[in-house]
Amino acid sequence: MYRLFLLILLQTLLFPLFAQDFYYKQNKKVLLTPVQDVTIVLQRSSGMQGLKYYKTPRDVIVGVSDEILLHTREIDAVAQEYGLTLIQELSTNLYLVRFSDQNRTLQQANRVHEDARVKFAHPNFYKQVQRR
Amino acid sequence: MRTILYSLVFFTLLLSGCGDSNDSSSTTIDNDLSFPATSNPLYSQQWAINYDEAFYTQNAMDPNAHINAQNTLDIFRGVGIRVAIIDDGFDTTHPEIKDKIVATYSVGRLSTTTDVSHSTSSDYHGTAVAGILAAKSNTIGMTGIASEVELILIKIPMNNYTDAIGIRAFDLAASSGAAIISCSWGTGDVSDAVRAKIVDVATNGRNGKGISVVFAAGNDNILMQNDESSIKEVTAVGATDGKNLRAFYSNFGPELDIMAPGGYELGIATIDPQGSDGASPDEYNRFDQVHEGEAEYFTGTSAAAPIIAGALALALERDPTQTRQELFEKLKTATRQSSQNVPYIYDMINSSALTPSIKGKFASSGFSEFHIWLTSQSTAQSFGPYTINSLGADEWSAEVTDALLEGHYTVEVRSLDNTMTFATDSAFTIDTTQSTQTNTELLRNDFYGYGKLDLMKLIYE
Repeated sequence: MYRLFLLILLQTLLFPLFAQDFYYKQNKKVLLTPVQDVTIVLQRSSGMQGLKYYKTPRDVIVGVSDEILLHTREIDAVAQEYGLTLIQELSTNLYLVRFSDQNRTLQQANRVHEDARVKFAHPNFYKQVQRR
Repeated sequence: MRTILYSLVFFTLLLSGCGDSNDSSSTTIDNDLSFPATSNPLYSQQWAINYDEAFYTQNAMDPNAHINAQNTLDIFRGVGIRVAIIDDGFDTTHPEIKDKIVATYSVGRLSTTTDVSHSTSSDYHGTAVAGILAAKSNTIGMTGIASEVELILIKIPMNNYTDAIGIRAFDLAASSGAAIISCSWGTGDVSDAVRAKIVDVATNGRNGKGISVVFAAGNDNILMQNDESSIKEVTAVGATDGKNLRAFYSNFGPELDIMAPGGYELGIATIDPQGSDGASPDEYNRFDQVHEGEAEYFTGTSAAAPIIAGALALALERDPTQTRQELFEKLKTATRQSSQNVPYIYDMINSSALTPSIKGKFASSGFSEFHIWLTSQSTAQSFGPYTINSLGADEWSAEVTDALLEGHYTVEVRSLDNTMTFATDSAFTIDTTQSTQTNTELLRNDFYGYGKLDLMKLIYE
């Protein structure tokens, strides 16, 4: 029993070290790798403060602010439950909302996405557009 | 016949003039339908449109490198068709496009304005795209593919773009009456919300007929995957070069829908921001533009996409009742093969066998001095040569005798001394979990399974 307790304690303590950031895309988890390099073009040019940067599996750098995009038919109820502030309705049932804790935008977007009333939710990603 | 067609154009123009516009910035369009495309001073440089013997010979080009426009640009000019271009900015006072602009929007993170001018004096991309698509047919410069369309110009920030900005841009294009949206850019990783908006306008826009959303496939010589251009409802455009082959940089994959000239060794002539701004010291970017010692001519899938967008505008002018899906299906078959003076490979999409059989066609001359090589795209290991066997008068096959591993391969048809490559398929996949797919209708030289636009076929067949 003591060993089991130690194992659970160890797992609890170490879990955050191995927890990976992700977001949902077409209902599948997409892992994100944090990017620390502040010289990346996106950060220099965006003029946005406090963005968190990640690299997608396709090596695309994305910035995450406190904004989330979500598709739901029940925006009022969803916003109230998760403490979201509506910024704009972008299209039918597609909303740009703000979450109060920018440090937890990814986790919050994932929680909202997992709500049965929501078709999808993900951060309002900042990206660099490639001219082709 | 031409008189009848001109009458149709005139009637369409008359009708379009009667329509209400919901945009306060709409202007009167000066429609000059009489000036021949061939009389534009830079027309002989516009190799993507038609065959010019002197130009093609001088530049050692494949005679079929163009889109086979013939006289189509004089008969249809996109009259009454609204095309939105989403890009990095535009020279709205350029004489080749200024009369066609019916709305401008600059979409920012917090607000939308009407100032779509380029952000820096060296930017030129959006203006160049607009020129290929819509430059006026007149006594100066060049002609666009659809020289009388109505332009909706939408500027998005290249460096601090957000998904919400993209959604607003497509929303504005749709609400401004666009029948076609031309995008010569991409993010490489499209989000669900942007995907949903693009699918929405492509499906439900234009009063339910659907809006044709055209995206450049990208210039990284990679599989497209998850990019905006890979969305099923999007028309994805790859680029061909002066040899009438897939330009080496052009992205590929099963999501690719069609090819158009994008150039490589030769640029696609277009317009440039006036004065010293942009890529050239004047208001045009020529096929061989050099600026301060550097090649500055415009190439890429960015150049190919507005050719397709313009072609769709012409097709829509001819029959405005067509739905996006109808246009899309017509476009996919409005293609032609490149020259048959070299052997071809069938469109081999994938194989479930680790020892696949590669098939193709002989050149029209019956030339058979070639063999097949496969190269793994993950390890760069080459396999071959595999000899060809005649399957009839014009068809051949080559049996791979090495047991290959699953993965992506490049298939090459090479001369027996390996000094020449006649044809390649850069995206052949061996996957034992999938059934073998070979399309014998779409034999191709160096295109990924799909053909290059034939404008005459699109308009008249």
